[in-house]
Amino acid sequence: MAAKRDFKRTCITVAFVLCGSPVMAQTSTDIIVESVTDYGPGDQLVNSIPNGDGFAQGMLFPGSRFTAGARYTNSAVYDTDFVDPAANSVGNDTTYFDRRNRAIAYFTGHGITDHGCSTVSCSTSAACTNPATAQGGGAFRLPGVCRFSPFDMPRCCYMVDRQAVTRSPSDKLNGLVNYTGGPVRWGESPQSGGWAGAGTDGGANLVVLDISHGVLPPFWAETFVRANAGVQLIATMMTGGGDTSNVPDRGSTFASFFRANENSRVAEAWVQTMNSLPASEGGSCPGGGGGHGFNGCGCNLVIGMDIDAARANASLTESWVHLTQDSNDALGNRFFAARWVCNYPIKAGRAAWVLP
Amino acid sequence: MFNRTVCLTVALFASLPSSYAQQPDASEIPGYRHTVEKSRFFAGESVARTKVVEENGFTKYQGRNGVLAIDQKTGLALAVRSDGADKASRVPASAGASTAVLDPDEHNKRVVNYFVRAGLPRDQVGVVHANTYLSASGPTSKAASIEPRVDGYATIVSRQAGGFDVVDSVAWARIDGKGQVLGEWVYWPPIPAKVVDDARRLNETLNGAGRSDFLSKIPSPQKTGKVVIRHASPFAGGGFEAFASYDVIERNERPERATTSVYVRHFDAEGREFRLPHEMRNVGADYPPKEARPAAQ
Repeated sequence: MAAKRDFKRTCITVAFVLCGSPVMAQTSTDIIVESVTDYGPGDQLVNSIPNGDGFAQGMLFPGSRFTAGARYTNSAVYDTDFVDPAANSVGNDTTYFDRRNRAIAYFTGHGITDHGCSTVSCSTSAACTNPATAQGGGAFRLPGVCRFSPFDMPRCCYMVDRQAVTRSPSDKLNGLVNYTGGPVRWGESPQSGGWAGAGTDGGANLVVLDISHGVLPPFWAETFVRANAGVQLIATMMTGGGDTSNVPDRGSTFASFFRANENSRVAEAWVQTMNSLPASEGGSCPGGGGGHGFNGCGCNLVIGMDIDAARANASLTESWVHLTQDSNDALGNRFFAARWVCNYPIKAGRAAWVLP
Repeated sequence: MFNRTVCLTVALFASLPSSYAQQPDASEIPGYRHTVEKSRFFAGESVARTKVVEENGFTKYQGRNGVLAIDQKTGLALAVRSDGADKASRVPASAGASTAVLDPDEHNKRVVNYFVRAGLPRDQVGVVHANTYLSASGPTSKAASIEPRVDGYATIVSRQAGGFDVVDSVAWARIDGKGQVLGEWVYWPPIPAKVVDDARRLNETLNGAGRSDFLSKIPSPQKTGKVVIRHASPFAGGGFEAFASYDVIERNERPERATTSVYVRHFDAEGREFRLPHEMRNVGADYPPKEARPAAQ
């Protein structure tokens, strides 16, 4: 039944393309940047605003194909900015983060440290079946995996929601934006269709979550499958032992790839941003590497989802020009393609984070 | 006469190629500027046939498969492929990539040789390591069990001067099994010799009788750090600046919020905190005005 629905949706899409529908010719060019430095006494992410502003400065210049949408900082960043009103009535992402005509929506601030890991050692993921053994915060659930890192011996870890954090008197969700199991739906548009059940009033084509622990291995798809409601790409950081370092130039470095060549791949720009940040700033990663915007071991990761494998894979090939074209909005989330670069060497043919 | 000498000097400098910064000068540690002639990004292609345009603050050399962009002001050079494709074209993400993946140690060796042969001073090469490119794809319902694939490496060359890490200088390249450069980035500006001297003095303080006094001045609970050389990033705007710094990684945990903040603080020889030019970026007021809402009950 699902396949039949997908076929029908694809036929409609093809028909729109062939007819040259003005809806399909829609482009989105606005950029919104939301940056939080001030999380209260003793909790300052001093480089968030320089980082977010660096991205905006790098993208917005005379002749740029991108346009200034919005810039909010500190207490002007509300948790409701990221939340879809169809999923939670307090949400207002249709006015802010996921507003129609958004090409890029960039958040820089805190993520959360919930890791879902237990102290139960393991040698295979098949042994990780008891989420109740996980420690720390969050609601743990299956799937479970036998995860390791250059810092950690193999132990059972479980799926746990990922969240971004705001701090404003106007927050209505305790300053927590749960983009895994919460009321977040990004990118739903007339071009993507309303398959995610959140209408077609969104618009973000690329979401950047420049935060700590944006995703943990190997839950790259599980983490974002619900948030993906038509968005073309989601870029974030994945830690593999260590933490994201709050650096001032991740945004400007990412933007420099656009300024250098707008026909280059957006996904490649995000992962190669890691290479270009200072290697010796931040703690090292055992076995070689570290730094590059991390304190320890980590990766810049980008993921695209779509209705079929070919479209999901092709999301990683989109250039900055294609990113603005809403005809590239995701038509579903049944398939994913992810790419990432890690700040340490991993030999081919060896398990990177998880024992099968 | 004086004015004429000044004018001639200025004219001479203006006429020199952009790589003048490599020339030895007792007052500075030489930098390295990557150029289209030195780059192997256009291997197999005539450099003379690349189209040269000035755009977005860069001099861009546009070849068949990509662009080498050089910021003449800062010296930043980055090479980026022009391999973007629309979703409708359904080009596989791996299209154009070489199937042969070099071993990371071999990759490191080849990239260091490449940069040193191009003119990057060998005595400034610090720690070298490989970053790993990976990918995974498939049905979202089976994502956690799909084994990622190693697609290749980039070799990162860090910089040292006078025995100190020059943190903000970066050179990296990614090459395929045939030696073709797939992407690269070089930012390696000259460093005033005075800054290296400052770092040396700061290091002497930390290794001598002044250590306790210096550390007591640092307004940070974290005292463990490292003497390094910092300089403006290529995106700092304004003029180039370099500093000797005692860098400390500040890490604050807030378990009640499940957050941790990690960032690097910088202290001068007097223990005073300072910020790098690109750490002070702030474009001003928010826009468009946002209506404040009453606090949640």
